[in-house]
Amino acid sequence: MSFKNKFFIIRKSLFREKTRSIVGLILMTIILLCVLLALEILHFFSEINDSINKNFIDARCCVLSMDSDVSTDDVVSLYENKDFVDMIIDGLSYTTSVTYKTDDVNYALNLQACVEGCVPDVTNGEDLDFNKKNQVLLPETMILSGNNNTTKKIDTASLIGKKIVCSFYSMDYTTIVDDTNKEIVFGGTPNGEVIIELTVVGTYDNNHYFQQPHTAFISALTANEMHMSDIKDKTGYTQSSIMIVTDSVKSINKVHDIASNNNIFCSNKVSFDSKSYIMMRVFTCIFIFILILICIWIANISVKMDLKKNVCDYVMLVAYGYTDNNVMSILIIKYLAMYLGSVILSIFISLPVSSLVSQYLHNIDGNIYNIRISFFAVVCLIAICVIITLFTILNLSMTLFKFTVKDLSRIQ
Amino acid sequence: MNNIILSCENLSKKFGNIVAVDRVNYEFESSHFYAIKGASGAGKSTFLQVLGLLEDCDKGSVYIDGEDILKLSSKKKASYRQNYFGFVFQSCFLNASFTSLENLMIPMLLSKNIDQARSDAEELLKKVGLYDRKDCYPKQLSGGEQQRIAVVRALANSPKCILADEPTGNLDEENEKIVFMLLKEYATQHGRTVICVTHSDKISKYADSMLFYKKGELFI
Repeated sequence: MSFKNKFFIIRKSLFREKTRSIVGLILMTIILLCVLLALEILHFFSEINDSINKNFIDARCCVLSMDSDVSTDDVVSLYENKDFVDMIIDGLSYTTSVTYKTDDVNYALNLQACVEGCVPDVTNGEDLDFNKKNQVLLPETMILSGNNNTTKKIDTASLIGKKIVCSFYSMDYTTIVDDTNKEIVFGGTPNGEVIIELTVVGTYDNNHYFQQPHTAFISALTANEMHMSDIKDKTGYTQSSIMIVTDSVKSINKVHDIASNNNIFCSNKVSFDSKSYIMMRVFTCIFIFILILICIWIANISVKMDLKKNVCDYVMLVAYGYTDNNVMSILIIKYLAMYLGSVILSIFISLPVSSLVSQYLHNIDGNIYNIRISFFAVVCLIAICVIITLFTILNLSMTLFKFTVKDLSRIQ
Repeated sequence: MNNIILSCENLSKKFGNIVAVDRVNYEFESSHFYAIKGASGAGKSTFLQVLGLLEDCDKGSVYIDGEDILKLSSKKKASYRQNYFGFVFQSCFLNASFTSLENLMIPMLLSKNIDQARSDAEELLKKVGLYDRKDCYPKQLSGGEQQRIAVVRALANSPKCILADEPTGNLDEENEKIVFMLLKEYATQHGRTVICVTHSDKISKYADSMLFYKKGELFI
């Protein structure tokens, strides 16, 4: 039997039962719309969470920046194979703060994870190879006190090939991207102690690099360490935007105020932590799963009602000579048409709805992410449609062919 | 002597302890109108349904052209139902979602395209004088009209054998007469076989052979 002939029967059947067909269509559309919006929100959370989870530990290609503070020459010489500096980070994203422990002294070591496209030119040694891990570039000039004017410097080229072994607490940092596409990192929670060994592969001209209009980072353990003079003095690059790193989420407001008061561009702030993201994502997934179950339940109820109402018609088809496959395919095409119709309608309705929700989300301070319909969400919706159809087929095959001509006799 | 178009041999069917068909043997000829009478619950409808491949049997065979059709696959049985048999039931069972014309088209759609099916269905409606009711839905037709549509629907694919299960059970005298005449005409003028289960006494005027069914057995 041709598809055109089957479609003739289905079209007439749907048209005649238009009230029931429309009610079914609307119900499925509403539920699929909720699924689609939930998928879009999940995508929204994922985008934010991806930012959170970029971690120095994963990158392990990093730069120690200019104005490095080295505690003493002794420390440097003591650890010929292990070197560290305390520095102001320049031009990069995702910092982590480490404490190198000795018997007497704790030294802070600030390493800055390096991303491609944000690497200074190498003056000695090798470029960072992002296919390899655990590499570090040192600034050509490392000075003692963090003051540009000091004359006491260390020749870092002699450290090429040497190792830096660090024990530190890795941090989960929260980052956002501001309106000018600069990344702002703030807040963080310790994520366990990690020991890594970095190899110094090269050096870069920190003066030259310094003059580039990069984002500057100021590492501050608490906002109390932030002073107006620190900002101007330590960086000297008040023309550049500044990324402020602080371990204390509570300090962010003060840090923000200090920066703003110094006419330093400071984007809006937004505060999420990774735990709340995980909770929201889990909750959304559970919600989507429940909606899918409801869809399957509605589809099954629909099939049962259809069979109950139209058992005579289907048994008569068998009497005419329609095979079981003919009858089954007519019914499946009928239901699939309804489900696909619901998918298409829900996509169209979701466009203005997600636009409205996006406007609300955009009003949240610092948020630059939106919900939007993604290819993934559409594919998920079609997959859900297929799953519902499969359940419908299962239901039909278990119930439809139990009806026989005896059921006609009972009705007679 | 007319050809044997359908024969059954030791046909048996039980529902639990109730014997509906008990070792029935009979040969049905073409161009013949058979009437089967019997008490309610004797098993007449079951016999008809087994003959027409709408019901499985426990034992026995039904032969068409020497082939035991009860042993065929479900697909081949469906093919026989489409091309060899036509069914008429007491309650018409017209599809309420389709017009009279479309109800006639449904059996034809298995082997014809929509336009051809529509054209053939219109011809059939003209033959029974219901062409002007072609766009009416079943609930817009009278009982007699519905049953006439049901009878011509059974003729849609020009089957060799019509199995009618109390086709006039819900009809008045006049409509009953029309239906029997239609069936009779089909049997005699088109060389087909009609096997009609009925309680009607008027059937004797139309039937070529009267058969009696009692407790699963067929008597002449």
